[in-house]
Order: sequence, then structure tokens, then C-alpha cells
Amino acid sequence: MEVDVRNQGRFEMGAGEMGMRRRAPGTLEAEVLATLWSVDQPLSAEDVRVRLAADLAYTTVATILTRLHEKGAVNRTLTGRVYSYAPVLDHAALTALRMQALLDDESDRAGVLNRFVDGLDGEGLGALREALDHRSER
Amino acid sequence: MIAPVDVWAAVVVVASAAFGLCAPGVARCSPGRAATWLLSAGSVLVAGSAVVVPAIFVFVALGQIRFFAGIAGWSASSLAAWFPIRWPVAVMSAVVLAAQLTRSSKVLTGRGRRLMRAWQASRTFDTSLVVIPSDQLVAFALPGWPGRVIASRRLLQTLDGTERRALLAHEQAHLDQRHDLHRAAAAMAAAVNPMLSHVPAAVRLATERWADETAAHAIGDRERVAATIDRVAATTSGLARLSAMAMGVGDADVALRVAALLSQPRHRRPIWEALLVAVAVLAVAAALIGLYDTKQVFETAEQAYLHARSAR
Ligand SMILES: [Zn+2]
Repeated sequence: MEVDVRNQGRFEMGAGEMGMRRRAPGTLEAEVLATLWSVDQPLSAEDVRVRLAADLAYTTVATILTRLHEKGAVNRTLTGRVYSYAPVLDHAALTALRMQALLDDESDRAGVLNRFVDGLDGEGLGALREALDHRSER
Repeated sequence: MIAPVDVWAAVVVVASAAFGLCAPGVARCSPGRAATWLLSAGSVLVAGSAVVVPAIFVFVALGQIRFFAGIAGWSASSLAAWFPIRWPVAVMSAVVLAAQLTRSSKVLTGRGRRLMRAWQASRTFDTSLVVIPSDQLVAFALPGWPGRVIASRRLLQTLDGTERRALLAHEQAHLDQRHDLHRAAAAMAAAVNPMLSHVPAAVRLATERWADETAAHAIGDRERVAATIDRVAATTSGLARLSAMAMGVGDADVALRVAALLSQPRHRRPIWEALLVAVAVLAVAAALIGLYDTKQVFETAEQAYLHARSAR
């Protein structure tokens, strides 16, 4: 599995696409999965490629989707001549929910896990808005 | 002796306090990576020095008891002459040492156990992203080898393509840069030395800023990352208020992070950093001098013991 992740990174770099920035290994797989989860209907590889906010080759996306299917993380159905992919909800989600409870554990607010943002109070939100407004004025 | 006992002991105390005072400034002003490393490594060194001082005092006080001195083979009176310790100081040092031991073992069992559970859980996942079928807006980095990103379906649906990339890059940065270990180090340091109690929050802010900067670099747009943080913060705080959840300690941090992303990185003198490094070096130097002096004193006491025995 380690090797899979590395290969993705190399694939991406090897494709030599313009405007691509270096990604951490594993991020590409996460981005494809996130795209599948962000919509309610199954997506083809081309659909995913269009929705990814990155200039990726079709083959790169297709390869990642195939690997995800091999891992059992996505289902695929043949619609017409191409596969459509839908994310699978399995026991991993349950474990992840348990880990969220770990995050919400009162004694570990400042914690082991890193949240993207914590809840903001009115004051914090005001300062945030101010910073953004100030920015857009210029 | 290089320096009197109270001098190096006082230096360690003052340096610890100064480190704790400089920590928030470094977390706010330095680049995320530099701030994280300076704070976590520095606090461990300062905390180590703060253990060495009471340990020396207790050890020397015990050594001056004739019974122990006789067993170990050094002169109790020589030790007392070169390294006088009044008994209140000895008792206080023993209390401090015991408190350091209980506080750090509490952190180890509490936080350490949670960290282990996270590591175990992350091993069971096959993909770098795991999605929770939840209506909450939540995403976090689950540390491990390799670590995994957990996000709620609702959050992924709320964000657009670029925002999703910013979010994933931010969480992946926490994992790749091992922010869990930096934070654990700071938590242990603060447990050992209460004067470092603000350091864990500072390391937390520093690691968030490091992850923000990594995400900004990955998608090549600082403002988009700032806007994403703002959007998630605004929406989650609304939800949090509805469910009357207790607000986290790091509330003001989000505004700081956005401001840091929006301000152009400008050249400035690294004053906070220089101060932080200086006091950490000072603390370590004082502890090393203390250890060296103590070793000298014990060697003298051993010679005095041998001398007294051969004279008899
Ligand atoms: Zn974060």
C-alpha cells in the first residue's frame, strides 16, 4: 500500500503537467475520493477529472480510480461504455466516527487530533471578518 | 565550582519563565515550520533542565546523610561544606520532583493512550481519506504510520473543488510533518515545568500555521486557503452555537491564521526567535554547569573519605 501511494506521486510528477505543484503522497487519492463523496451520483473518470480543481491527465485519474476499486473503497458500474464510480460506506467509517468521539473528548480539546478549525466565538469571528474585509478593500 | 548553586538554579527558573513568555510571540510571528521546531525542541530542553535542578538538590541532600554517605563512600561533611543545602530547600525539591513525575505520567497515560488509539485506528484504514456519513462539518488528521485524513460527507459537499484541495492539503500536512509528535513533546514539557504552560497552545497555533502555509503552497493561492478557513469556521461556529457546545481554547487562533495568510510575508528581524533560542541555551548551559559542579563536589567528598580512612 505504501508503494501504491509512492507510485501515484511519481505518476503525477512523470506526467509533467504544466502548472502542477508538488503534492504530498496520498493527497491525490484523497482528492479523487473527496470528489466522489461530494456529489450524490456516480461519476466517470472524466467527470472526476473535470471536477478536480487541478490539471490532471485522464489516465492519472483512471489509475487512481482503479486502485480505489481494488481496495474496495469504491463501487463501479458499467454505464454505456465507461465505468461509473461511487464511494463505498464500510466499517472504516464506523472506526472514523469513534475517532471523532476521541476528538470531542472534553479532556482532549487541545488535542491529539488536529481539527481544520475549532468553533469560533463572536469576537473571533468578528476579527476574522475584519481581516477579510480589510483585504478586499485594497 | 564554576558558579554558586543558587546562581545556576536561578538561571534555570528565569530562563523557563522567559521561554514561556516568548512562546506566543514566536507562534504568531515566525514561519510555521520554524516556530514549531523552535518551540517543541526548545521546550523539551528547558523542561529537561528544570528536572535536573531539583534532582541534583535531592541527590546531594541524601548524600549528606551519614548513613548513605557511609555506604556510597564519600565524606558527608565535605559534601555539606562544598554544597550546603538547607533542609527546606531539600524538601521543596523533593516535592517538585514528585509533582513533575506524577504530572508527566498523567500526560503519558491520558494523552499517550489516546495517541495510541489513534495510531491503531489509522492502521486499519486502506485509503488516505476516510469519510464519515455525518451532517456535521468536521475534518481532522488522524495521526499514525501512515496517518489518515477523516472528513464528514457534509463538509466535502459544502466545499468546492479548490477548497476541498486546500482542506486535504492542510490535514495531510499535519500528518506528513508529524505535528502529533511536536504537540506531544510540548505537552510533556509543560507537564514537567508549569512555567511552560502556554507552550502547548503556542505549538498548536504554530502547527496550524505550518499546515496552512503548506496548503497555500500546494494550491498556490494564500487567499483561497484563508477564505476556506473562514468559510468552515463561520459555518461550524454557527452549528456549534446551536448545539451550545463549549468553545475551544484556540478560538482566537483562527483569526490569527487567516491574518497571517493574508499578510504578505515580509522581511523582519527574528527578535522573538533569537530570544527564545537564547533562553533555551541559557537553561541548558546552567543545567550542564550544575551537573559538572555537582560531579566535582562528589569527587572531592570521595577523596576526603579515602583520606580520612587512611589516616585512621
Ligand atoms: Zn489543522
